[in-house]
Formats: sequence, C-alpha cells, structure tokens
Amino acid sequence: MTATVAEQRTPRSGWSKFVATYRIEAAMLGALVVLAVVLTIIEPRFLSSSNMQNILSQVMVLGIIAIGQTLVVLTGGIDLSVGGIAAVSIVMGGLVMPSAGVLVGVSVMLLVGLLAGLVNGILVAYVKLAPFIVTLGMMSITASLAYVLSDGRSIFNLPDAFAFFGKGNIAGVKFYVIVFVVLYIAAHIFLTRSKPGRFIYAIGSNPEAARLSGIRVSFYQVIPYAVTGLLCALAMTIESSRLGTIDPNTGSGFELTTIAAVVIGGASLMGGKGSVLGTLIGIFLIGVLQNGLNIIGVNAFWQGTALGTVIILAVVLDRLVRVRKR
Amino acid sequence: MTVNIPLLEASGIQKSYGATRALAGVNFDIGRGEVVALVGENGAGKSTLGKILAGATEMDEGTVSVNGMPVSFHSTKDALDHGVAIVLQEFNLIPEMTVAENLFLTRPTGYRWGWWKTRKSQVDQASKAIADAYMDFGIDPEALVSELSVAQQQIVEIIRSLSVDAQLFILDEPSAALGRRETDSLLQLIRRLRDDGRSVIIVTHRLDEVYAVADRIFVLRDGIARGEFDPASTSTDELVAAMVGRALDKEMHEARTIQTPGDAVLTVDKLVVQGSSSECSFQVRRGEIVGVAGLVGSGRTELIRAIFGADPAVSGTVVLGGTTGVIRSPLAAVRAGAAMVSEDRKQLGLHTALTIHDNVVLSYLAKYGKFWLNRKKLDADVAQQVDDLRIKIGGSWLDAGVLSGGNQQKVVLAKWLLSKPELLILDEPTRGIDVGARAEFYRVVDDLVAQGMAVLMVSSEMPEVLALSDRVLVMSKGAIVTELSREEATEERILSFTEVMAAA
Repeated sequence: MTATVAEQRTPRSGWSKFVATYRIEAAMLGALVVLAVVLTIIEPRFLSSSNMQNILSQVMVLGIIAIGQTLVVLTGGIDLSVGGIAAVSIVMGGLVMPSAGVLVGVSVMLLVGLLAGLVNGILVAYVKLAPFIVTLGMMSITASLAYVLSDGRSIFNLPDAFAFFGKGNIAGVKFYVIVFVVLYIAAHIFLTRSKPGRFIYAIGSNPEAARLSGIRVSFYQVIPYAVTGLLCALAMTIESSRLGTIDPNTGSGFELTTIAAVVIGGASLMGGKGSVLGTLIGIFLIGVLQNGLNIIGVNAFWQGTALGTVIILAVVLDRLVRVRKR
Repeated sequence: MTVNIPLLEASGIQKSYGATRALAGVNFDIGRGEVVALVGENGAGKSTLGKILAGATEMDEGTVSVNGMPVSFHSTKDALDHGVAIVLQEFNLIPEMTVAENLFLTRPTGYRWGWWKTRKSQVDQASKAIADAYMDFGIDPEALVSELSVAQQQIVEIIRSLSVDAQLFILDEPSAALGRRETDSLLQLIRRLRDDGRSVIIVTHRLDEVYAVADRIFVLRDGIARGEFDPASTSTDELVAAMVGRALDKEMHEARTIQTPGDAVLTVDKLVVQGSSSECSFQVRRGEIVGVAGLVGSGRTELIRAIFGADPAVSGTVVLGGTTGVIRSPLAAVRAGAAMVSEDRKQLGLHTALTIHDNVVLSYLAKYGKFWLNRKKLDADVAQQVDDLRIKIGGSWLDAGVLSGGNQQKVVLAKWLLSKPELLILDEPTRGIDVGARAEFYRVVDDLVAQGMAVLMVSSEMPEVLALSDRVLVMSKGAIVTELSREEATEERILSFTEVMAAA
C-alpha cells in the first residue's frame, strides 16, 4: 500500500532530497529556535554574550562525547561507559603530567580513552557480547579505577601549559570551540562521504544483510567504540584544563545526557537511523533548556522533569513525522 | 447442501491506507463447508480483505454478517467469538518456549498436579495434534520454537491456529514458507476441515494450491472484485489474466534464450557442508542457469550458503574467480566474483531503513570502495542500475522499505550487479513477489545470462525451476542425487528423485 504512494512520486530537486533526509533534524532545530525565542522574551539576559559563552562551555564536553555516542548508536549499540572512561583517562594522564610533562600527560589521557574504547569494541564485535552489558561493566571498572588511582582526591598541581586546551585562543577563538566545530564537521563528512561511514549505517540497520553484502561487520563495529573512548578522553582533557583541576568524581550521568542528545536528534536506538547534525541540535537543546531554566529562576530540581519531557516529546515527534511520510 | 443464508457475508467493504485505497467496495460471501481461494497480485487487497473478515484489521465502511446476523469485529477475539479464526502471515509464536507449550498457550493443558507427569501428557497431546494435522515432519514437541526452521515454525503456527474450534478459517499466505511436501499436507488438512463442515478462505498467489483445494476462486485486483471462477472450468491463463489484467501467455517458459554455455565460472568439488556428510560436486558455466530443486530441508540453501561463505563448508574445494579452496566469508566470495540474492529478503537482503541509494552501493563499496566515496560516480551508477532494471521509484533517496516486494528484490539485485559479479546465486528469488513482477524478474535474469552471467538458482517453485534452468540438480538429504537436462526435467521426474530419497 505504502509502496504505491512512494513510487508514484516524481523525481524532485536536490533541495527536497535534503529535506527528506534531514526532516527530523529540521523539526528539532525549529524546536530549539522556538525555545530560544521564548527564553529571550521571558529573560532578555538569555541572549547576552556572557550567557552564550556559558552555554557553549557547558555543551562542549558532552557535545564532543555525543559524537562518539552517535556512531555507536548508529551501529545499533549503546555506550554506557563514557563517563567512566572520561574520568579514568584524565586521572591517569593527570598523575603522570607533573613529572612527565604536558605532552606525555595528554597523550596518556587520549591513549587510555582509546584503549578502553577498543576493549569495548572488541568485546562487542568479536566476542559478540551485548553492548549494554559490556559498557555497563566498563562503566563500573573505569569509574572505580579513577577513584583507586587518584585515591579519591582531585589533582591540582598541573603544569601551566596544560591550561591551553581549555583557555587558549587561536586567532581570537577559543581552542576548544575550534576543536568542537572541526570534530562535528569531520564526523558529518565521515558518516556521509566515507566507506566506513556508510557501512556503519548498513550494520546498524541490518547486520546480517550487511555481512552477506561483503561487509566486514566486526571490523567496522569496533571503530565507533574506539572513537567514543578517544573522544571521552579528549573532551575531559579540555574540561579539566578549563577548570585547572582533575576530578575523579566526574562523568556521572554523561551516558544518559549523550544518549538523550542522540535520541532527541532523531536517531533510532535500533541503529541505522540518525546523524551528527541531529545530535548537535540535541545537545544544544539540552544545554539551552538547562541554562534557560536556570536564568529564569526555576528550581534546579525541575531540570530532570523538563529534560525527560523533551526526550519523550522528541520521540513522539519523530514517530509523527515518520507516519506522515508513510 | 441447501444453504440459503451464507455462513459469512460481507458487502460494500471499503478500506484505505492514507491516500491508497486497498479495497473499494467489495462484496464477498462463503457458505458452510466451502473452500474459497482469494487470489490477486501483491497489493490487490486480498490480505486486507482476509484480515477485515477476521477482525485483524478494521474496515472503513461496509457490513459483515455471520449466519445472517450483522456483526462488527474489533479484534481477532471478537471474530473468534463468532467462529471466525485466522492464520496470519506473521508468526505469533514465542521463540523461547517449546513447540508443545506454544501449541497449548491459549488453552493451557495439564499443569494441574506435578509438572513432570503433566508435561509429558502435554507433549503427547502436541505429538498427536501434529500427527492429526498430517504434519509429522520430524518436529520435536519439546524443541524450542527458536530452534526450528522457518517452514517448521509456519507449520506450528498453522497447527495452533487450526486447532481452535471455529466455523471459518482464514489462511493468509499459509504456504509462503513451506516446501512441496508440507504444502501438500496443508492442503490435505484443509480438505478435512471442509469434510467436517468447516469453511476455509485461503489467501494465496500460488495457483497450483488454488486448483488443488478451492471450490471457488475469488479474484481481486486493485481493491476491486474481478470475478468469481469455478476451478473446474477455468484455465490458469484465464485466472492469471483476471489477476494481472492482461494475458501473461506462456511468457515464462519462452522467456529463456538458450545458448551454448561457455567455460566454467564455478567449480565445486567434493564440498562438504556443515551438518552433512555428503560430498557435492558440480559446475556452473558462463551463460547458463543451473537450478537446484529439492524439498525444504534437503540442504539446498545450506549448499549455496557454503559456496558463498555465509556458513563456511567443512571441507572440499570451490574454484571461483582465481580462488581455490573453501570460501570463508561472504567478503571473500564477493571478491572472487560471486553475488547472492538471499532467501529472506527483509532479513538477509535489504536494509529497509536505508535509502535505495545506500542499499545499492553496499557490495560495490565492499569489493572496490576506497576510503572516500566518489559520490558522482556512485550516483551515476545507481541511476544506471535503476534504469536498467526498471525499478519504479520516486527517487533513490527514499527508504527501500517503502517499495513493493518486486521492486525491493530489484534493489537487492541492483546491489549485486553493481559489484560486477561473474556468478549470481539466487535463493528463492521470487518468493512473495506478484505474478507481473516475476515475469519482469525472469526477463532481467535472462538478459544477464545472455550477456554471459553464470546463475545458480534454488527455488521451491517447480514451474520456475523448470522454466528457467538449463540444468537441474536435484537434492535430497544434503546430497545431489541426480542432474537433469532442460529436456529431461519434468515436475514428476524431479519429485520421483526427492520422494525416493526422502523415503530411503
């Protein structure tokens, strides 16, 4: 039945192809704009540059991690260990940094993140364990190791040069803003224009059909987890540099917020559907919502209610848009 | 039997899905002890009508009465209360429970005192139910449903649905996943229901079944009734013409352009498939179609999956495109020049959530793709395939899942053709595809073969095997029992080999 409707459509322009591809993202962008306008009307200070910067710095960490989460969700997986990996990687890097220097310290951070992600990926892709279980275990292990290694204390005596990642500017623009923008553009291009990117969608949408098409499913399944591990470390490197301290008690709740951003952005937890553009909008929607509730003076306890409502509304909207299409 | 009031009567049935009209005012009736076949192409509205009559789908307009009393069904349970039961195309079995447990799920039997003794009686009753339904194909009542093959699951579903006490049974494409022998048993079961005075509506597009069992044939096309036929006085051609709205003539058999085959593309030597001890040896040459016939469970699918590396063989040699030895993965097979259109399109072939474009490029990318895509070339290649195969689509960025079965199959074929294979393996290539689209598919395959493609085809549709194959390999119990030429191959001959070997 549905087929005939689709088949009767005449070929359309590239613009309608774009609209067809990014329908849900466009709807969520609309919601974001409406939210921003409403907040500005209630409280004009919302638009001030200091508040904008505030939002940006809040969104940055989870935004970078959410890129990795998007890749994982696209393959039909889930990564619960993002917070734990973030914590353990900066703690390990932070411990060697005072003696070994900034470069080695940061390298250790990124390497630990990458390795933890690789372990996740290998257990999921080659040992064929459920992503939920593997990353749940990894979440527990990494969060606990972060406490063990740091003895539960924050690390303060960081070299001055480390501050560059969170506070430095390049041509007047904050270094981390550049990293953020570059990562999103790179991820978008990777997913839409590279072979592994297209294979990630294919694997998420139907792994067995992908294998029978000649795709090395396990190999391409590892990549998203490894990238996520690396991005967790990178995001926390920037954050701890900005704050000037490394706190082992960081990262709790990262998994829920990043998954929420991915889902709000129109991705399906079944895999195969979604985009980093959607995730970008999702993470900003969450950031703006939390910030907005703060500045208009709503009790912080309400934030969870608001966020939860947005998540559910996003999924409902997604359903409506898809049904309309059929 | 003199029956003035029909068992069930429906008039003016209308149903639309969005802008598409599935049924446009259909009148239908069925008497007691009557078997009516509801036929038509995919999308003709036959399944929709069957589901409305059984309460599985609600109609927009129209009336239904049972025994002359108007009824209104809002669920299959409503319908069952009025003696109307349906066997759906989709399975409603619980995979983690045993066959026996599933059979008695809706009416739990024997759980009263101590579970062991009563469990045994449940198992015995299940065995009896299976035997009563003439469906004794080695289904273990204590096996988990998830361990059964698709055909066996279908059988369990049928037995369960037919074991309720109803006056009218509606079977929606019951034989879609069944092989020859299972289907014959099903038809026997339908005849017995009729002899018991029950009525049966069978929704199908297998015409041989229609002729075997129906008292009356009801043809639908584009949601409108196109006539009722008496099987005794109606030829297949007339029926097909009513279904498709044009004469299909003897198109199928004459569709093949037979030529002298070239050199061997695939040589299989003493290949032993997992779970079998037989050695299989044969060749497929350029420009020929080799058909593989056999019953469900005869090892046909296992053999080609082993050749393609989907389930690597235990031992033996496959010579294909410069590789020699056991093919260990589909990627290795694709690189060696093989392509496989799988049996279960939605599970194994198509990415329904991806666009048509993204589906079509996959195997090409797996075989030749560099890290970055050459999007211009891919767009042009996809457009070329869509054109060549006459895939009717609004645009290649639409989701493949919204296409009709025939067009979905063409998308899968386009995916493989883009990878420029030398050997095309087809497993039940026209399952669930309507008559018109089949003819189109045969034409495409014949064109490919004429251009030098080697084709290895497994099919349960005997007419398809006979019409398309240059040679037919007959399989039974994992072994190739004989090879017949196009001239030698007849339905009776093929069956004689499968039956003899199955009985042995």
